[in-house]
Amino acid sequence: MEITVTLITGRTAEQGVGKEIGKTSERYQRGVNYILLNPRDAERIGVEEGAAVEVSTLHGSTRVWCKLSEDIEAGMAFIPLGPWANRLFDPETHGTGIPSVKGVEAKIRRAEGEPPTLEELLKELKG
Amino acid sequence: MPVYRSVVCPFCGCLCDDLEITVEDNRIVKVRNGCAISTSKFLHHHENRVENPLIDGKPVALEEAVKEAAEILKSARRPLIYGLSSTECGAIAKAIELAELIGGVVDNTASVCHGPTILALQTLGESKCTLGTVRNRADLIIYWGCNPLEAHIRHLTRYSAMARGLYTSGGRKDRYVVAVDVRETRMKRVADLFLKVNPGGDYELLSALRAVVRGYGLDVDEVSGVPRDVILELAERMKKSRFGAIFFGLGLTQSEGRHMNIEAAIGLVADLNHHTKFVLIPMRGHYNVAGANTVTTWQTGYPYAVDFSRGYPRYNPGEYTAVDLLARGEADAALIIASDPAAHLPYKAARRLAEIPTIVLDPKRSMTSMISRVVIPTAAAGIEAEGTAYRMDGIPIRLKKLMEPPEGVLPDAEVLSLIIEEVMR
Repeated sequence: MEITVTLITGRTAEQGVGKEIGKTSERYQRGVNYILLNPRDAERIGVEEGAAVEVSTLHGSTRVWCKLSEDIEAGMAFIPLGPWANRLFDPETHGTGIPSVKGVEAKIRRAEGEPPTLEELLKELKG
Repeated sequence: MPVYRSVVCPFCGCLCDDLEITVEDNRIVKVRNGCAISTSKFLHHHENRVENPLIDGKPVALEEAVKEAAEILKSARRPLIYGLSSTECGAIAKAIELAELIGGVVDNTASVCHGPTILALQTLGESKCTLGTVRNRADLIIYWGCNPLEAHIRHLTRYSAMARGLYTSGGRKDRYVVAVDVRETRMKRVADLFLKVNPGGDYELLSALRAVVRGYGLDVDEVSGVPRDVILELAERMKKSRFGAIFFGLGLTQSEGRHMNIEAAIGLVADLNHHTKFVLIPMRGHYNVAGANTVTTWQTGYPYAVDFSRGYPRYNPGEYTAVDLLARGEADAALIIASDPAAHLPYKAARRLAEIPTIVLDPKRSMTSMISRVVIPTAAAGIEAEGTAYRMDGIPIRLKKLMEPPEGVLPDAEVLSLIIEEVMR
């Protein structure tokens, strides 16, 4: 089962706190390696709080942990800015310099494996 | 135990300047008045540091790292210098000098945050004031596409919704507060009125408000998810306010429409100034991103996306901006200062940084430092080095040096001076 949502990215206070401890800190990684879903959406794809989900857009995909909250309405999802989120976005800026990272259509389903670690993301980035 | 008062926080564009920091044995032990992020920044600034200059991950002497950096930049055909919004103005000035010297491109992180704001302001101008004026006078405050509770934590209490000022001595109860966002954030609890706009619907909603302010009716039931009556009432409230302020964030600049959204907001504010006093202030993220734009403009005439390849500055967002230059595979070397683009730019652009020789100047380890050829540790501005930064409203504020950096670690500006000397050698 897969759902389509409108994906929003952004900063959070927790991401800020973690980033200032350090990008390699546990707290930073916990603070950005997740997606916020409405419990009804989570139920539709059969995942609970703390499950791994696969998020994909036309431009890429990523695996992150799932957090549930009524603060996000069904049909939308929020993912904090960071190295897990940046795999989802088109570098096309339409002549403005800025890519579209808010309001992007994304598909979400239960993931097969766990989300990659920061080291794994790094390894992949290095190629 | 020295206690430093009136310390400026080098995290976000609020540049709160009332912190009290206690230093013991060259270590920060206490932070007063800071928000959660600020406190984290001061208390943990010594953790996860880059401990040595590195080339290919191996520790080297500073001179060697500087020499390698200069060599990379000199031999590149299309070098990119990027970042700059989390360092002080002296370093930004040096980075631009270096870009001119090597015929490179210099861009700052505004290109992925409020770049579209700048594009719109260049077209239409701006009605602005200082945050102090908002605190003292604004009786209507609108937060559009921004969430200060997460990103500018003390903005509400120091400068806007809850702040007590000269003509707003009642603080929160003297103001009407509106928040507009595509999702119900915690700002809903702060605001008197929360408008949930459809994703991508900001331009339409701003335009509808403009129409009503100009005296036109709306012959639809809703615009972008907001009922007509609510729009009519808000427009009326805006016109009747004594002093209104719109703070806006990346909800407008990073969504569909980008600079056009900001043009619509500027237009609304211009229309409202026929009725009352209204201003528009971008919520600048990094503490000196406004300084990066300001210094780049003094020195080149342009705020970001500046190319020196012809020996004189040219400006073209979309062409000389970091994401474009990297994703096209055009940049063949990069110097990143106080920024972590490998973690934040779209993957294709981040990937390019790993393919080309990249040099990083940063106090801390980051994704970018871990994929870079050359890494040079620097002193943390506002903690281990002084300098000037520009607040989100364009006010320059002097950052303090509270303690010595680790031995042998220099401020960004000094490292850049060494690279410049080496390039000129």
